[in-house]
Amino acid sequence: MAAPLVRNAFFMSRNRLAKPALVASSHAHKGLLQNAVAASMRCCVCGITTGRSESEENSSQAEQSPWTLMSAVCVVRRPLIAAELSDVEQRYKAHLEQLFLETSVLSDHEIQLMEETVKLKKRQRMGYDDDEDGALVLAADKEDMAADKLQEFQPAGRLTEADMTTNRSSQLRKLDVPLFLLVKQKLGDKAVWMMPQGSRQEGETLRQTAERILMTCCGTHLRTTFYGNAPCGFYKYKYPRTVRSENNVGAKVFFFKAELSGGEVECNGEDVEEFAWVTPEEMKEYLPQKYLDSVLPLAVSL
Amino acid sequence: MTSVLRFLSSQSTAVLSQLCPQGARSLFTFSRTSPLVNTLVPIRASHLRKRKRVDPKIEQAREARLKKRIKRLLKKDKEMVAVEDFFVMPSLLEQVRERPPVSVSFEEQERRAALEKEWSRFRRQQYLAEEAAMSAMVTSQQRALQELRAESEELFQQAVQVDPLLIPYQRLGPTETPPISAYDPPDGKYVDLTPME
Repeated sequence: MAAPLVRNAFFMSRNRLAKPALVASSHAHKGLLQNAVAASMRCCVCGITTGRSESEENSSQAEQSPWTLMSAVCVVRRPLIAAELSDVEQRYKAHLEQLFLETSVLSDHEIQLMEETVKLKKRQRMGYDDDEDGALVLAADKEDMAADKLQEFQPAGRLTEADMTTNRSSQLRKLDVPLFLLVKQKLGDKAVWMMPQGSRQEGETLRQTAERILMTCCGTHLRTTFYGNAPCGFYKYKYPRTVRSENNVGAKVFFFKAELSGGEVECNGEDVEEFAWVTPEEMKEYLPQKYLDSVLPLAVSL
Repeated sequence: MTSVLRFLSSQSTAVLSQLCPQGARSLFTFSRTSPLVNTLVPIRASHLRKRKRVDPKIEQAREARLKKRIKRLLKKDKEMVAVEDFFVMPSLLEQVRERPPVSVSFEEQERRAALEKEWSRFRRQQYLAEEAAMSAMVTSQQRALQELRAESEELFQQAVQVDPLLIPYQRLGPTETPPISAYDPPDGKYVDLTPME
């Protein structure tokens, strides 16, 4: 999804370069320069110099963002079976089949069937034996054989045992809709239901953080395919006032989407207590509203 | 022999270079040292026959004739090629094949028309829902990238890189019933051994 958005981002950067910020307030990163006075400051993020051009680089580069950067992963188990047809869909399907039948020509099988019924009637009238044609395979016989062969195959049921027992930690529940992984993770001292999340370490890209977090939270047996390098969701929260400080205001969480290829989730116990595979409707039981607003656009049952 | 070959090759390269510029030389040239080397080297050259004086005129005349033919061919418009899929087998157009005509009652026709309209409305609702969901996803991603850029330009540039391992992307779609665990097919398993590069 990053390809069509690069254009947008490029336009964003173009605007910034076209209008060099001379005043700190019009600058995009004004939050970082709040403590700057009349002296010239170079923004440590985008490099725009404001004010007089003096060498004030040392103090501005040491400034860190007060927000902890975190990555979260939205793991989706894609549907294994096709969804049930709704009422309109079923009626339209029958309608189309009837139309195709009416506007078609007879097939070889149908012609053979017609000819054979005529022949059989004739023979019965004439009084011939039916045993003479024991060697030939009639069209009617072919139909019966095909029906018998179909009966021999027993497909697996669309409702699994996880459906019957409503076991939310099973991947094989509700096979016709996508399921999303939620974990009960420790945030500070409380255990909270959310998508697997963790903070970024030095030298990592956000996607590498996301992959590491998934491995630590859900075990090494889970195999996933990440949908690209770009995050697809954003959530910001501030720490409670007791923990909050000037340099440590809160956390910015970037969501990455990944698709489940196979394997089971293993809780590592210390961080993650339990996990569940849920539909977007069921997510409302676990997640607070504000978090849900950031996550629901990703958790779409398309 | 050699002069004929040389003559032919010189004629053909001139002519074929117009029709297929890349292949002209390769068809009529050969080398004693290596078949991979395309040079105009005559084979089995014991002695070289002298060229006649009238030759250049005849050569030019022949070349001119060939060029005229090529011009005529190129002037013609491209011919339409018949599409194989549109040919109906004659056996399917026979009288025997015709289905006995079905008369559809007026009520049935009305019912069918109403169903088509209902379907059209249903599909439009589906399309609108899909569009809304997709645009919500795009907005969410754009916001995430905006916020990331505000945080760190370096991380943004890394996020915006195309992931070469993701494309080409392949996945098996959903089936009518789920796969049976440890299934033993009665006709045996299909193992695809096509050599892939």
